[in-house]
Amino acid sequence: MNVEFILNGKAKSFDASPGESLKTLLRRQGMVSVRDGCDDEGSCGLCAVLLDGKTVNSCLILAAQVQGREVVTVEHYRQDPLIRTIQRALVDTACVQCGYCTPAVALAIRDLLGRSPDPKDEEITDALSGIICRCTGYLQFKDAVRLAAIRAKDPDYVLPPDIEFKPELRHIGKDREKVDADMLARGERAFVEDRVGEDACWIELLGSPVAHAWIAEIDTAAAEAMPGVVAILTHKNCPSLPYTTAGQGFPEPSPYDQRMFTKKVRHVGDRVAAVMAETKEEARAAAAAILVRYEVLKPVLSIAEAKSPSAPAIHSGQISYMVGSPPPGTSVEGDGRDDPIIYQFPLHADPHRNLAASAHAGIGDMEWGFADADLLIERSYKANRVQSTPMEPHTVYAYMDGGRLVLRASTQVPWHVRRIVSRAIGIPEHKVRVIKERVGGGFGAKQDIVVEDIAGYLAWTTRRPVYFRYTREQEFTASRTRHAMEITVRLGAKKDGRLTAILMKLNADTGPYGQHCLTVPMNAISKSLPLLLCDNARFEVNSYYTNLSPAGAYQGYGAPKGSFALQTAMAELAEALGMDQLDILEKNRVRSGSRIEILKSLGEGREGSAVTLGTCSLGDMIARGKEAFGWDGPKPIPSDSDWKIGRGAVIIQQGSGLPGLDAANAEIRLLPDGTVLVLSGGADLGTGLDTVAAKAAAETLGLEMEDVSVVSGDTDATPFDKGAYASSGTYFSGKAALLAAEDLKSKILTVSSKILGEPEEELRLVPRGVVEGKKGRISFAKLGHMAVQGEGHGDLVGFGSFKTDHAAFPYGAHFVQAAVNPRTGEVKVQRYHAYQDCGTPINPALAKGQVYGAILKSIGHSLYEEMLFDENGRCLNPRFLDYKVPTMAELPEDLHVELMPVEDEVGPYGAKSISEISVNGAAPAIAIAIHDAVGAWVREWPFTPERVLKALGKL
Amino acid sequence: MKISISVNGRNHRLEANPGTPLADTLRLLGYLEVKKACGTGNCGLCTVLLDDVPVPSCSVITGKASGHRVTTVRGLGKEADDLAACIVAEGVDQCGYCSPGFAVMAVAMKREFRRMGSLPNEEEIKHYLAGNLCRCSGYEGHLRALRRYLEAFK
Repeated sequence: MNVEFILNGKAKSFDASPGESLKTLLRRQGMVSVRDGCDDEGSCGLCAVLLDGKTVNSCLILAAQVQGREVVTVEHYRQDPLIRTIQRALVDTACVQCGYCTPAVALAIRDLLGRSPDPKDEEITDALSGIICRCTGYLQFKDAVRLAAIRAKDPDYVLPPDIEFKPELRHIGKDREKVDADMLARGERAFVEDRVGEDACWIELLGSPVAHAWIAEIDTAAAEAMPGVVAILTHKNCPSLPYTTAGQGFPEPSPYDQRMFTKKVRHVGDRVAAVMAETKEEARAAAAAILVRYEVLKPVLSIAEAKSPSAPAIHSGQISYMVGSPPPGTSVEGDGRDDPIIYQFPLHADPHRNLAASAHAGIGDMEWGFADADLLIERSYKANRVQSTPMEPHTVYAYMDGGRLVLRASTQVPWHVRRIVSRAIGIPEHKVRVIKERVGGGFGAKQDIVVEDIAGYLAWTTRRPVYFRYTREQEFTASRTRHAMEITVRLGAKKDGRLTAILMKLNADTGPYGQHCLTVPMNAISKSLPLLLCDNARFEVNSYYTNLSPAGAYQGYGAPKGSFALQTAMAELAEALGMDQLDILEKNRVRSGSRIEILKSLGEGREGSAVTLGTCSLGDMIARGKEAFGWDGPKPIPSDSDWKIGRGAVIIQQGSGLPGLDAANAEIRLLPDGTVLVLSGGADLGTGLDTVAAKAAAETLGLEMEDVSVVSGDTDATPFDKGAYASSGTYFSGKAALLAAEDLKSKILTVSSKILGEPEEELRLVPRGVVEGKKGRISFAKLGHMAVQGEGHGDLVGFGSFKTDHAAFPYGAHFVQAAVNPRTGEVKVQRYHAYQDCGTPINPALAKGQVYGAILKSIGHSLYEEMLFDENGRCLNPRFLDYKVPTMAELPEDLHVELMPVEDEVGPYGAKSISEISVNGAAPAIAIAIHDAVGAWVREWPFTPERVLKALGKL
Repeated sequence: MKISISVNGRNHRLEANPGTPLADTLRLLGYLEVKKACGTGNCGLCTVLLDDVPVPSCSVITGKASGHRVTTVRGLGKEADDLAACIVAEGVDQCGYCSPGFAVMAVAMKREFRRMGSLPNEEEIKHYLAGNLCRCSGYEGHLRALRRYLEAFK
């Protein structure tokens, strides 16, 4: 049928099928800014368009319904100056992180300002609360609306600069425009889905309907005969090479317990078959026609079940230990039916008893420590499964180019993708190119290779382009989740609050496969225990296989759970001793010059060593929070007598990359016009890493930001980088860019010295791009031009490679004021203050954006996010309608972030990490605040009304 | 007007100007192996099969192809693979830009002669492929590749 409507000011006529949604039609017309985060459920708001000026979800409207009406997408900014003003305001207030939701946000603001030129706070929340953003934490959107409202009347209005750091530097410590922000705000092609060719085939994954079963029979004959089917992959015809999906450095500290497809399924949604067909509809139809007979086994659905001696073994194949104990080369016989597992990292595992990994260590004498205590407490905490829900699901576009396989990927780890995919397919690495596109949210889930191996193999074998995109449901069932954990903390203390012993017993649920099975639980220990100084400390970590959704990395890694258990336990100890919770932290916390002995036993698979801390600003941060919350005074009186108010405070830490394990590289080229191109290995996920690299180049070389472009995360074009995980971006990749800039600077000085006839010591770089000596001067443009001339000096290229054994810990103090309704069990976070050390903030507004986003995500897992499973292991809420993530409506009334930098001696310009740390505070701080309000300890996250009422003894 | 074309077995329904050259429509649909070097039917690079007959797709209008089958080199399957192996073995490809059109024409030739129960001789090959221009190779390699390819059918 024919549909006629006005699209962005022009009358258009389109051929549409009667059931086609407006979103599908618009995307078909190349309007890529109309995104989709919820598979047309209407719950994410990313497909927003303006229909006769009003924001609507275009996925819920039939194309036929807009006959004769007016539709506006963000591309209309060329004709609508107010949209452009809003886009610029979003850029200038650091609202563009991954940028996947930005076009929808811009349109919602356009709608709002169209009807309310000076919107109040509630109006802003109302207008934007239908759009889910997982990066920003929403707060800066309010700044953007206010700025756009001002500029709508005064186009020349300039935003006054915020607090700046490092006065001696030109760009570092100041807010500069994020290098990709404007392009993303305009809704230009940037993501994997925007690169897919018209001729690309579609992959449909047939997932297991049961949690634990043998595939007794699988018949694809009928499906193969269906129209459009190009190939069908099952365990019968795919390469059977063992690997892990964990995108970690090689050798990965994760067991090789996965294959592309296997004859055993281990969770609902596990891979059974992949159909590649000409179209999505044909692929779906063929997948439904595959006949499978399952021999269903009893599923293992909790840590307790996994530990039970009668539990079925989730992995029952032969086990080979290549390293560690048992001695290398040891094999354990399997049942002959399941696939073999290879351990090439000492994980202390016993898979036949569902133990994926374990680690037990400590310092001092626990027996003595507990005997010396005046008071002992032991408490158990539980953290349930949550999913990071990046708004862009896992997706990849694979095709052949020049006889090589190209993967346009949405990944945090391009080089690990190359290594793992080439291994899984069985081809050399030089045959594979991975290009990281803009990533629509990663948060750790995209540290794992969950779509690239299948798409890569199918493109390689059929030599046809193919697109693979997870559904939202698959993001929950077959992507990666936070590990569920049960942590028991035993504390011994003297009457004055000094700790005599700490024992942490941690059991983790890694799901059916062992990616990150040791490192995530260990991180729960290594980012919580070293905050407290205690001569006797021990941990016992066990990580179990279950038949629930696979676990993996999620912002903060294990730290939020370790922090929840240990910080809450400390507050419980304070209560038992009749002390203020902050006084007991004060007595035991790390401080400047502390010797952290426990790090000896926390070496990430290597020998660890104790660290003597330099400056630590936790004391200042706690003091700032106490002042802001009037800590020593009375609690505020609630306006509604149904509600009780409580306060809680915690100290937190993270790391900055993996010292001694990882490395990053960068290259900077001086171009013939005197500008520079930065080739960074770093994988920017929307965090602003490319901007960090650009700033390092501009600062070091005396250039402006517009003199620098950054190409990153392309395994052909840029040098190796470990990838974006473990809070390593700024510290490792940023430092590599700085070293490359310094190398280029030194080469520029050497060449200039010869040209100018002056010694290098007398030359200096001055803005903008000039080498100045005592006698003469030469511009970068001249140097760059000479480099490419016959009489010149060769290309000027700087190279930087960074690795370190130095551990840089960012610290933070988080303060919460919560209101609790003891009749309903509801909890509201009213105030949330984060005092945060990230070393030098390279770009303060972007650094704060990381913190806001982390806080909202962690309020989510503390209060309402939880994956629920039925008795057969099926996830009951794999969609945004049933799995609650925070929207703008959940923003605390007072959300405040303050950066309190302590410079690191190794990080670039003194920077430490900021990307993960702020997810560690919410759960314990809110738990403590709930107790402060109503006197009950809730020891299982999320603190739903049901659990709060149970803690109060009312259920 | 509404056009419906089957390309390499896949059905396309689209709204298009019937006068648009088929080569342009095919490229818009993503069949980028259809190269276009003259737009006047002189170079042979855009050769496709229209219902099994080789045509320069730049000189066929889209409206005429509606309701018909189009085959590009990628739709020729094993025949194209076998010919490609000979092209590689004889080192024919230099820039490679003319190869897709050449391959379609060569396979069409082979099919046509096989239908008549014969195979083309040297002169017939030259005559059949005279419309496929190549500026790199000097055609000697093309002849070697075709001899090798046709050998299998003797």
